[in-house]
Amino acid sequence: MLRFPPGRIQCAYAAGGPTAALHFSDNLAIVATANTGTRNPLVVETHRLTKAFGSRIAVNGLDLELSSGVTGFVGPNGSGKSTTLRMLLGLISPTSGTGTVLGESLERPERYLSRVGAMIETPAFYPMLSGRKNLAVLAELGGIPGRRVTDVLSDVELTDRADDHVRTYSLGMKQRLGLAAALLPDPDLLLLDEPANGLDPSGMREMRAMIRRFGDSGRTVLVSSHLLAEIEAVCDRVALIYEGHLRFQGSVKELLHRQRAELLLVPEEQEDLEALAALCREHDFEAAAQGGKVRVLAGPDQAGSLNRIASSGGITLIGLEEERASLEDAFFALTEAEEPR
Amino acid sequence: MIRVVRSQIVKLARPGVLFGVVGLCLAFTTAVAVYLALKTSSSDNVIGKAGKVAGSSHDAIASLEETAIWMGVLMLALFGHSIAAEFSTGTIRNLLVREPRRGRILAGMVVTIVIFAVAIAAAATLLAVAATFAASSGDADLDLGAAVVAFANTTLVISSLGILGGSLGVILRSPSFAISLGIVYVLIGETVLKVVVPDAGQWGFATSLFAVMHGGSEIMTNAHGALVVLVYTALFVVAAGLLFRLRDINS
Repeated sequence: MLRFPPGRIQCAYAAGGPTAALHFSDNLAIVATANTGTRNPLVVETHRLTKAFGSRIAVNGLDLELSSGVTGFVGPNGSGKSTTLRMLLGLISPTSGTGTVLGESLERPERYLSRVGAMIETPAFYPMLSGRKNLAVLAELGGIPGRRVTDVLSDVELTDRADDHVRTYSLGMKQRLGLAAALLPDPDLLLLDEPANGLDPSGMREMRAMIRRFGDSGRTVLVSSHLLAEIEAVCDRVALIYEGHLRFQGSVKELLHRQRAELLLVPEEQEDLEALAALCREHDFEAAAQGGKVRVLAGPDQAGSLNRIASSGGITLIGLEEERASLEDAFFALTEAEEPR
Repeated sequence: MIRVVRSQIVKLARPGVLFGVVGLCLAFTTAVAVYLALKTSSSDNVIGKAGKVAGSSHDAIASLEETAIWMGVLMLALFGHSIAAEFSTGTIRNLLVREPRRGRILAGMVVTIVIFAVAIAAAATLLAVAATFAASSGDADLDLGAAVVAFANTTLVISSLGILGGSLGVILRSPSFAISLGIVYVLIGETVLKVVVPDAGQWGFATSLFAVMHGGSEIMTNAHGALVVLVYTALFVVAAGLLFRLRDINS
């Protein structure tokens, strides 16, 4: 069940970009959500949502609950991420299961899509029309006032090239135009699939800022990306989908806390490393000397105990720090260790 | 549905379409009208079913008879490409997000085709008549009733071919496949079919189109041909509509 409560930011990222250390195995997706605190009615909710293409099940019994804000939808090809987004947009019909978007049934997309903006995969436009004309086509279709076209072109900083043919646009400009198209109806729910594709670092930063602004305004954003670091930076809620199954949904903090915490102890004298590790093991800690430090499986609440243990053995610590699990670690831990629900 | 029509017109109202396809239709019709008027004036030939008076509006009508199928083929290509490309390039996603009622999208596209057909047929009729009068140095007489019938027949022919192109675009989702299949069937396929099934001359789509184009033929009357064309056109729309409503948009 996928739900987006109002007042949150949700975004999704997938590994592979320059800032991401995580590389997805096939069929994996993560959803991250920035929690703004108050829990509002669910914006998106799915129950046992399933989509099969012949014998291949792309989305399998997805129970997702998302509320407003920014939600990330992350994963490699084939994880069911795009299929889920398409079902939310009424572009493909679920094989089974139910869901609601903005309080309306998935079976009646005409009741909610006027309040939804979307950019699915690579933005598609009429190459022989200008960016402005492309948006005008969509504005006419959606009954959206023409002045919105100018507004959103300005929002994505495409005003200067608005009257050029789209065929002359770079990939990054097409991404901006896709975002402008998504913003056109001034939506309550924004679905963005890989919005950072083709954007330069400056464009990516602007995109992040825009997503945050949108989410902070109390509306809902669902963003997919391959950059887990971006999720961690922008969102504080995550959901993980693997082979069409929901593996986790909750805050990033909660996901990270699922990982076993480690403390790194640095003795003043390097020759004390092995002795320190042995001392910790004597006190029932899992510990090993590694790279000039002793790595101990323990939470930050046990830092004082470990410090005292070291002192009791005559070892002075010059460093004692928590090694925080990354989203990448959590990602692999969930996908490699757990079986799909 | 009006929104769909307006958005389609925004999409199609670009120089490439207006000066290319529409301009080509009108220029071709005008050229044929001038040619027929000059030929009739010089030789007193009787051209076309309606052509009884040399240097008259009947030459304009004859020019429409001769060019309607080609204008229709251009419309087939225009809308076959325009609609199939929505699927092949993925822009159909944008349309369906803004207007998820697929029936309305399809109905709007059909209405847009008919609007284009009416506009092209009206302009072609006016230009053909004007060209005929100009070529005959203003001596021609005007048979308004025949001109209206020719306009209506031309509209039916080019709108049905445009709808065939659009329907094939929805069904096949490939511009080149939709255009080539449509053109090959209309210009060649049915001729081959009639060899295999001789009765096809009584009910074939292309045969009916040619009958309507010429205001009737030895095989079928104008009204019979028009009815058959309308039935085929409705079938194209229904087939395309069913597939459009049921298919997932995966592109």
